[in-house]
Amino acid sequence: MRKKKINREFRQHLLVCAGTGCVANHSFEIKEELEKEIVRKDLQDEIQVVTTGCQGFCERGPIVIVQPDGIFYQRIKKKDIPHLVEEHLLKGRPVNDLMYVPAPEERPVPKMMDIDFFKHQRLIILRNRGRLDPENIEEYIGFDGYKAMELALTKMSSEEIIREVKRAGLRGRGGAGFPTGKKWALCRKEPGRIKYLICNGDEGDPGAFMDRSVLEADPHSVIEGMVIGAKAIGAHQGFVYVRSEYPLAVKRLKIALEQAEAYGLLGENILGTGFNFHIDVVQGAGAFVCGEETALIASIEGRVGRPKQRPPYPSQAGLWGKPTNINNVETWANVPMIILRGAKWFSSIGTETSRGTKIFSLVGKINNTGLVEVPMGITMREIIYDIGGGIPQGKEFKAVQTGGPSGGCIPKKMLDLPIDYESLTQAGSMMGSGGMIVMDEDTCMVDVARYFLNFTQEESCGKCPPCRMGTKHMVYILDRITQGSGMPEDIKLLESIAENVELASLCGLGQTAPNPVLTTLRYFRDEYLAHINEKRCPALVCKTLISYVIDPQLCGGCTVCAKKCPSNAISGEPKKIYTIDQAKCTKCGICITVCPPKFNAVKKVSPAVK
Amino acid sequence: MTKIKTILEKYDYKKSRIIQILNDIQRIYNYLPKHVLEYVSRELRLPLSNIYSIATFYSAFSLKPRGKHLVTVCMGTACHVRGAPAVLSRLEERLKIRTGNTTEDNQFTLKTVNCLGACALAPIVVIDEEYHGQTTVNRVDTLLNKYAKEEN
Amino acid sequence: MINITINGKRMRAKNGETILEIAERSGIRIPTLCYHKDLTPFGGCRLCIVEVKGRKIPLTACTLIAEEGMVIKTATPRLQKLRRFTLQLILSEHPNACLVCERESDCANFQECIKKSAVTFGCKSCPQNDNCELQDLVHELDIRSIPFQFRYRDLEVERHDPFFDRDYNLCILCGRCIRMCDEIRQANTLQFHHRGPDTMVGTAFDLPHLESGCQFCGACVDVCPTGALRDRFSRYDKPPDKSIKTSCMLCSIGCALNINITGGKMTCSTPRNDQICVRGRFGIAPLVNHPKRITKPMIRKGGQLVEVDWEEALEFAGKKLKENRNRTGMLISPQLTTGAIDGARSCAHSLGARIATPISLHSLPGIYKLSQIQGQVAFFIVNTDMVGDFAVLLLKLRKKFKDKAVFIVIDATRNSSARFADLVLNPRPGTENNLIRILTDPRKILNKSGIPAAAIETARSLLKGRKIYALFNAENFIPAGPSKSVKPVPLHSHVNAEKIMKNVPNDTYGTLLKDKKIECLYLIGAAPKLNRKYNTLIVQDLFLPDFDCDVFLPAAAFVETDGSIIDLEGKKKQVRKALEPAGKSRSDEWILANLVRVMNSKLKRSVRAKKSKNGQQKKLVRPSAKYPLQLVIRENTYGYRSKPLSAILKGFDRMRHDRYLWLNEKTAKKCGLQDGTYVNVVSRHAGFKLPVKIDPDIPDKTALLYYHPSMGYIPEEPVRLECIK
Repeated sequence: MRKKKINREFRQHLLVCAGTGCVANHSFEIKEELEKEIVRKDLQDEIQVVTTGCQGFCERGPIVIVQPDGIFYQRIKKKDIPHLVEEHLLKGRPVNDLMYVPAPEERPVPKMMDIDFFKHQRLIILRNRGRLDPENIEEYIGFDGYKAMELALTKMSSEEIIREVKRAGLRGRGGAGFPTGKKWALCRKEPGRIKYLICNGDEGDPGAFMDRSVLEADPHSVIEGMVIGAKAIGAHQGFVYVRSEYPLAVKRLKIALEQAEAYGLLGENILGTGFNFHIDVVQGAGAFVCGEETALIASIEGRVGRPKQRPPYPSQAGLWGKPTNINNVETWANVPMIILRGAKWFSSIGTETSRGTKIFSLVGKINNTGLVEVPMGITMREIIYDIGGGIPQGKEFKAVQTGGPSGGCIPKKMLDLPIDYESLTQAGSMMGSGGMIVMDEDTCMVDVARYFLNFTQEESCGKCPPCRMGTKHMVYILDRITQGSGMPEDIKLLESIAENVELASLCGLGQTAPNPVLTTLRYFRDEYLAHINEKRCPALVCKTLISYVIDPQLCGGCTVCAKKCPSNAISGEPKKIYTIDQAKCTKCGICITVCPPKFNAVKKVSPAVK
Repeated sequence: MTKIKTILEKYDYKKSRIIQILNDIQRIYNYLPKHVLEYVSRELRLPLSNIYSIATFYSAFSLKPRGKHLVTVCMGTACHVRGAPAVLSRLEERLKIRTGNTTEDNQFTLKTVNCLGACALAPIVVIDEEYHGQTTVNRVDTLLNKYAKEEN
Repeated sequence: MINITINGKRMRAKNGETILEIAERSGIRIPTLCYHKDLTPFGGCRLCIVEVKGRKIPLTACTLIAEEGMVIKTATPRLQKLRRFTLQLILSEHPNACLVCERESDCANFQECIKKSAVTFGCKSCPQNDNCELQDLVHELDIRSIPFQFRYRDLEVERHDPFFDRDYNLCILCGRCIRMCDEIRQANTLQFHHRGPDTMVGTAFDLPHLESGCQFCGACVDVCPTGALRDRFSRYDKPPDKSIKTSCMLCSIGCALNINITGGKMTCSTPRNDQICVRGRFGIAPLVNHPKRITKPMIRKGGQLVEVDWEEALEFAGKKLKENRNRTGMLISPQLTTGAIDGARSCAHSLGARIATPISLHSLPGIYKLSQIQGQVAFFIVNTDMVGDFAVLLLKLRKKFKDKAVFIVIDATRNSSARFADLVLNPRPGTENNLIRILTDPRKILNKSGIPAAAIETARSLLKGRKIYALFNAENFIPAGPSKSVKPVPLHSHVNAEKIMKNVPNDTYGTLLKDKKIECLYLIGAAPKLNRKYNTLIVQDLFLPDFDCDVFLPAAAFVETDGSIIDLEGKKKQVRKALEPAGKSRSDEWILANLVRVMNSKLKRSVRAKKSKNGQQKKLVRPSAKYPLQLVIRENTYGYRSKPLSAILKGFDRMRHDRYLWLNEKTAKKCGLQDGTYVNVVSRHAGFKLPVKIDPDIPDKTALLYYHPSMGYIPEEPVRLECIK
């Protein structure tokens, strides 16, 4: 196997983040402009510009990192580039204005590893993020890539591989946390020559994008993991199922697969060992339920994604009736490291029951939005405050939602909860795929519950009445509550429907659909009661229960809100006090965002005024 | 139908690849025309009722012609807490259509998607595969005006 | 064998048995709704859930395969609660007014009239009242209230397709109709579409069933647990109080039927064991109960047909027949009992009469035996719409060979078997044998069929290494001489064909009607178009013919008589009298026996028929400038006795446009014709007028006609079209 080090003839490398987030922020244009400027300054033989996968600090994109200096530049615009190249690359003077500043009054932090967001993370799955070009296999190989696979194929037996993964304590990172080694063993012991391997990249949880990042930043880690898994189970054909909303991930994956095959690391006779394994990419088509194993299998078979009752499990009869092992993207990406560095090393990270690290997508009302990889057992508080930088605009933390539509919210009083599978489940939530949506005082928890249930309703496959209709009736009740027609019996009714839906539904989607309702009822019951009994929304979110009013004591008569109001609901005269006509107001919220900060006169009140 | 034949050949006329085939067809026509589905049904020996079932189950597919510009609002949780519902309402008002429909002049189709995975840019509106991050409710008008201007 | 425990009782189970199967055979009741023993388990309705030790969530018994040591509970309070919850949810979208009404028991009189209202709002106005699985479950699970907001889907009841209505306001999405249509009938007409709360059952693009490949076999109607799918004819009738077994006589397959009777009236016929087709399912009850059916004997007096009693009618008929001794022709339908056929032969013999049937001289004799078709097979379907004409036979074939058989359609015109066939070839009319030789003979043969070389290659590669059988309706195709590579399997659509070909002298209607010596006709279940006057016309049938007759003897329908038939496998099957003949009608056997009595004839022994010269090739005339359109004729197999079903039963005329001339758009445009326009069709020996039906699957320069003897003499020769001013 070839080993190639990164080209040493360049004195510096500029790593431009090209994850979906930064690409959306025009990072490719930044790259082109950098390259042009470097040519203009005749530095093209000394400095190389490389695009990498997602750096994780999406809030601050576009991101450019200068190596080997380790200097982190963020929110780069095209106009910054000439100055940057001139100062840092030519004159050796890093540009402070473009660096990360934690808070306006603080000093810039030049080095990436000193930034809180990064320094608390432990990168195993994301080990290669930001340091290699995912479209160049040589770079992956240069960082010990495919070494684990070589070991597994040439020096280990299938049983040894499974034993190692079992000892490591790796658990499924897709949501349920089933022990991976055990899952592999179950599939291995099934009779038959034809077995399949599937990588579940259907990441449908809203707010979760770690699978996307791994596939975009380091697709080879997944491929390598799958080959090792294939050897362990005895499969010769694998599929990566990627949802249709991730075109860049599909593109990078396909390039990686081509290159791996060209280098003899995938396909027929891998590394000359006689082991064959092929991987095909299959795209989803917009159905969250296809993240469920049996629905995913149906989708690959070209059918609608309606789950089937298990047993039989996919490991017994899966794709086309054959034993099939499905694991999440993150799970596969963990495997090479476990084989390379050993189960002992892996199990030394994390907690007793939840070993290793987990990637979380930290989003919502948080300063440092992005992707973080941390060891299991870290507390919620550390993630939100130390890494996440706390809540923007000085607002109060209210709750963090984990596990997406199958999970629940963790309130402030549980911030010191260590994050692992068991403690999250005990708190009424679950690990899920790792989405962490932070909510502040301006988030209405009843609205959140309604949002999630609405989501589940839309994504329900429709096969079984408890999910198809049970969630619908829960939505009806939550709609009533958020629209001011809630009745005292509603909470009891919600709870009883929730209980039944959980037990009577066919698949995980329906069985976990009531969780958001149950946890918000558990920790924020008072908000429900306020909606029902007082017709009041404490967070000032539910449209029917709020009114926009202009405080006459603060209004400066600047006319801006009246001009911007799309429904012509604001009237008044310049330099005089303006008022909002409640009958015309559609509560779009534009007025409150355009009122100059020096007046801050537009307020939301609840209950609504007549 | 030569374009369709090429697509079918690309997937070896395999029935199990119907979802990918429909995806490729939609790329060409911007929706799934009935006569094309009938053709595919005959060529693949796959009942039309099955194809219709698949086309209506997966939300990526549209059986109605879509507008010139596809406006997609992300309704993921992160976008939701950052105000996506208000953005959607505003778009509905401006375009004078409900979500899932197309404007009368066939310029815009408005739809939602449940999380694009670019949560740092919330709230996000995607128009014709171009991502417009941080599109809060008061930026909607500016964004739409840009496209209207390009028409003229 | 496996050991499991259900409700504390130890049981033994076979490998692969589901918990539900074990429970059912042990007498343990588990409620179900989407389960059907002939269809693959769906696990969707969630009513059959059972508690499995070691698992938090209950599992569906219909999908759960028993494993050693399983401990199952089928009726805990938690299960009952969950089952009620699920059923209540289903009911929240199904008109449920009557189900939980306290006044349910004293509503009886009022609902007789409101049942005929357009909207089903509750059981009392539903056609399936007292015949509904949902009702049964509600009573079993003792549901008294539904704590959920009710949503009426507010869908229009679909009534535009023939034979059955679809009221999707009542659909509970169990999927049984879909699985029945897909797995057993293989018509693939229905599927779930959309998702989540919008999920609904229907056809592609919500097209009518007529345009979605539906065979109208009614199997979906029979598995629907609620009133969502209902037989239009019997929808107001109460459930049957009697069900009598008989064999269907509408075609040669002779399926076993249940004749369902309520209060002495036949309401519908349903399959007894296997599958049946649209004729057996929807063609019998409306026929037996038809308002135009004549059930009293009649004689023409003073220019009018007048009702008389049997003695008078028989006397008159007998007198006329004796007067016309040796100058009488008897035309009989094969759709009579064997006893009636024998009776007709004896009668003919004693009168010195010629006797004729519609079986053509050219058709090849033969008995069909499924057991003789074995191995790696390929089928040519030649000039025969297997799906329309022999649906049940086709199902048995496809079931026997699953996906392993190859089907190639060889037809000069449209053929709905194209829907499932592996390859469809449209040779020029009359060149079918040439094409078959080309496909199976390795030597080089001149290609007269017009099929391009690429298609021939594809066909050859499909046929490699397979035994080839040619399936064809014996009236539509005559295979060329004996062949080593292709075994002909002639299928006769007429019941009793084998008996007729053995025992009845080979006269067809056509040859008999040409006989100038014949002055009197005795027509039993036959009413072909006549082209001259006869001194006496005696008609024995259920309906009046299109021409004037002198005597009408009302015959009983086959469900009103006892007797036997010979099916296309040569097997003898019983026909049973399920109900009393309508009005004064009598069985053919009775009429013939009494006619002979009245004529005082002694029954002579029947004479062995001459060996028929069947199987002669027809010579196909080519089109010319004067007659440019090739007329392709296919037998109309949808008839009972003298009438095509489309002539008497609404619904059949819409699904089988068999009294139309079929053209494609191009041909129709040339003469300025549209769907439904009448046109004069002229050939060298015949002329007739028909409305036009435009269909894209009719090849250029051809016209298609489904032929029934009531149309008169129409030879298969080129025609031209003349517009009617």
